[in-house]
Amino acid sequence: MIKKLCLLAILGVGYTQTQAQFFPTRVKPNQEKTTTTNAKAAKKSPEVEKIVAKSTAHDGLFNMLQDTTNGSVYMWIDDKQIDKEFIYFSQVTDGVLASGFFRGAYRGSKVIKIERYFDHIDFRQINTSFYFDENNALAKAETANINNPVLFSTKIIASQDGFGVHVDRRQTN
Amino acid sequence: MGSVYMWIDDKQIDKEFIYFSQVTDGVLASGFFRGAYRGSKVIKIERYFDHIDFRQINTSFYFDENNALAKAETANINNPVLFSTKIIASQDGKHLIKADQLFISESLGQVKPTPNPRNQGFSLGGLSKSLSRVDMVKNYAENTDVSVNLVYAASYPKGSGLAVTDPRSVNVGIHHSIIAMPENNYKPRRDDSRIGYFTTQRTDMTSLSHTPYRDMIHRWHLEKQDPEKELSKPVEPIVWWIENTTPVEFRETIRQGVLRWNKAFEAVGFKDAMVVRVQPDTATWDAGDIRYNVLRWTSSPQPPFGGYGPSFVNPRTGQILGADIMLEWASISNRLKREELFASAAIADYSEMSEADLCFAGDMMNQQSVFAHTAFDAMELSEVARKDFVKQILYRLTLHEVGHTLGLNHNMKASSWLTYEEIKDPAVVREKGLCNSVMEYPAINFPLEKENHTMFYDDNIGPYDYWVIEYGYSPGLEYTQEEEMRLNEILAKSTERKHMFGNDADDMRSPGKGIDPRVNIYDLSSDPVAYAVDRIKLVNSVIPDILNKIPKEGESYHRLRNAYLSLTGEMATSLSVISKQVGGVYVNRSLVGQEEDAIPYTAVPYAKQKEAMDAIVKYALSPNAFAGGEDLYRHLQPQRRGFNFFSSTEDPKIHDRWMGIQRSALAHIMHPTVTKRLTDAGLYGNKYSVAECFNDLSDGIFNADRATSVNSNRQNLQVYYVESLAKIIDEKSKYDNATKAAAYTQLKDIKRLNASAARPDESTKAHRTYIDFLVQKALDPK
Repeated sequence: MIKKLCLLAILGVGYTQTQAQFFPTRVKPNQEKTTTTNAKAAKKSPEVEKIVAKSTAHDGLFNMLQDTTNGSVYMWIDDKQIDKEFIYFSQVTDGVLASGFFRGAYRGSKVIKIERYFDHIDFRQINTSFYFDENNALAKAETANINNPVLFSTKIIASQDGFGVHVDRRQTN
Repeated sequence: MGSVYMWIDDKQIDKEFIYFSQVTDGVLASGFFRGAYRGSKVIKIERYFDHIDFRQINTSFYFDENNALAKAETANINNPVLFSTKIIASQDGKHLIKADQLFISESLGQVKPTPNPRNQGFSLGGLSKSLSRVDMVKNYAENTDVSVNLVYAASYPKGSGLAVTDPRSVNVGIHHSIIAMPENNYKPRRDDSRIGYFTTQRTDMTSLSHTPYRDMIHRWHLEKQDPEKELSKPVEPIVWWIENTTPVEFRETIRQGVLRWNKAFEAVGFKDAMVVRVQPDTATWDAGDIRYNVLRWTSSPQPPFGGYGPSFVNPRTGQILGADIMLEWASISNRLKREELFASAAIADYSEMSEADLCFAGDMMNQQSVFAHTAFDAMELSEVARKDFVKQILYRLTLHEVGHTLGLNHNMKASSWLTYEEIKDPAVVREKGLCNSVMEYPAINFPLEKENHTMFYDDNIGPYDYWVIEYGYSPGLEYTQEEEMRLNEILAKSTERKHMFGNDADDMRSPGKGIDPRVNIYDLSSDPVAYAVDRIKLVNSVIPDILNKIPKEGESYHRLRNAYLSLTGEMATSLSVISKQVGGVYVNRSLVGQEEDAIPYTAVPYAKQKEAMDAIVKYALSPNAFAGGEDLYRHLQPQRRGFNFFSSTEDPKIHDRWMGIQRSALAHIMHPTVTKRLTDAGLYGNKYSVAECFNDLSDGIFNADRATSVNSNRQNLQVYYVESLAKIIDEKSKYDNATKAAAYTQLKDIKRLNASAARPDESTKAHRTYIDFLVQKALDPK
């Protein structure tokens, strides 16, 4: 099991590409997906160790870390969460009416999918406005001319499994 | 992340390649759609010290190599470097370059359209390097393919509909192919003005000719397996794949549709020129792969067409290297496009039309389809007829798009082949079909009387199609002079009636465009006026029944509203067809001496123009031009969907719609290009003067109710007409003087007659007073 720690800032960690021919894009049908398991990831990552050491862990749907020295927030993405749909929802906690915001304003919900592109994690919005009967062969063209935009993309800081899988739990122990 | 590198071999340097790209996916709001071809060009890879350059080579100009001028063949012709990058390393005569910026960019071809200041709608942001990706690299002996997803990002863009999802980040998929220049014995075939192929234009720069054209037609490289045999299979057939997205119930009809072209190839000695296979669900290739010609299906939000049949060629020779066909579900569905706008739904909006090879028939096919289904319901036609209709629409669509991929462009004259009587004669239609070619946009042949039903659309290729295939695909002769004689023999048959031809440049699809009313879209028979009048009669006879026959228990009245929109839309199309006779000029493109007494330009006879004008007056302008009534209008209710009519109102804007239909009739007749032609063509035979034409319009618009009250439809029309006349004599007017004089005279007459016209009620009184005001203002603008 590999987890990926994402950070908004770009911190480079080498990641070896293992597949050359088919690159994974998740919204296209009929395309082979690539498992990008990297054997080396089993080792403890010094970057993770460093971040974990100075952070508070918040466990839940996505395990989160917050750096106690500067407030930076980190997020664990589990392999099981990749290519899976989630609902994203936001609301205004406070604002000023002069600019159109007010406490408790709902900002709608959307479906997002977390994807991996080599050494990056992408958050992609999934368009759910169009229906295709799955018994009609046309359903195979259901993505045609409908935008599923990447809203956010960031480099993976480090990936680790086994020992590392529980790195967040360890922190809370 | 996914960086891509490319080896350039020394042997590939200074060599020409073909670059071709296509859209794998996009959104229509920004003009992109799955399967759009972006054309091919010749590129050369060059080395400049430590850099590799990709240079585009201009192939539009020809210099005879035996002429010393050929030494100046690069003079004043741009061959631009499209991309340049530093060589990372060289080894064994190979140079490694980083290729991300070659493909994840617009280096090899512009993608985002140059902003159009007139387009205030949605536009793409800038290309985001961090979000754009290489999706796939595929390599073959003859071509290297790289598929990328370009993301255009903007922080605060305008909204643009459901398909765009989030306008801040818009994907445009581009599939790049770099292709080895074909090495074969393909011989280009010259174009000819009497025949309808797509061409690659090339100008002969060392010729003294008046027409120094060396244009090459687009065609496939077909060679006989056994050249000795009269009939032989080709070495390589044109293989079509039915994409696994194709609705299963359509597959057989589509397969047959493709194969029906084989008859034309048999006539020139090729057996099984085309082969059809079905893409299995387990296929590991997709239609972006240029080695496969694929018949594809999509159901897009805002479908741009009913069908689209692009191909791409070697720009050096015109040889077609690949093709696909895109078919849209909208062409057969009942969802009326732009139906939310009562005033304009199902009335052609010609501003949307673009390139000639992009079949915009989508809207109209869809409209014809909805019209047909409405008429089926209202006229209680048999189930058999309905099934025939769906089959024939698919045949027509497939035959037409396959024709494009064989290199053929439109033949908008094809529907003028048979006479008005012949298209109603089952024996004739069984033998000949309806049009001389499937490359036409005909009117759906829907009979006024049930018993006159023959066929809705052609389901097989016509005599023109056989003839063009003969020109393009019959095996050539080795020696130039012999070959030229052979081609001329084929071309000599252009004067036969069954080979009549006119392309998109000739056709009269929009007001003011084209001059020969025989070359038109959505018309039928050699008497398009009689045919269009029948269609309006049909519409007028069906409309009174739709309230009884269309609504279904438990449903909203949406179906009824769509029926009204599609029927009256068909009426607008018919009126527009009729109007094209006015100011018409028949065109003959035979060469000098080819046909006895042939004259290039012949004005449409006076009687024909008058007949059309009478029909316009009767069916578009008269006080009772529109069928319907209180009971129908009060039921034309759209189905509510959420807040869909929030910013407008749901009630039917009937006057706006009628005005739109009347404009379909008047726009061409009152177009400055047309009114000027009435006078110009007067010098070579036209007898219908602009003064008489405007007089007829005024009579048609004012006479019938001069002594009575004027109904609201006519009030609206009369005001529109007076305003149009006022614009013609306005200071800023671009009309010619004869037209201005005619308009001025009409305004004077209207003023005079208006003064003594009856004013039996308050509404008519108000109207006549307003007309007087408008006329006065136009005549004396101070």
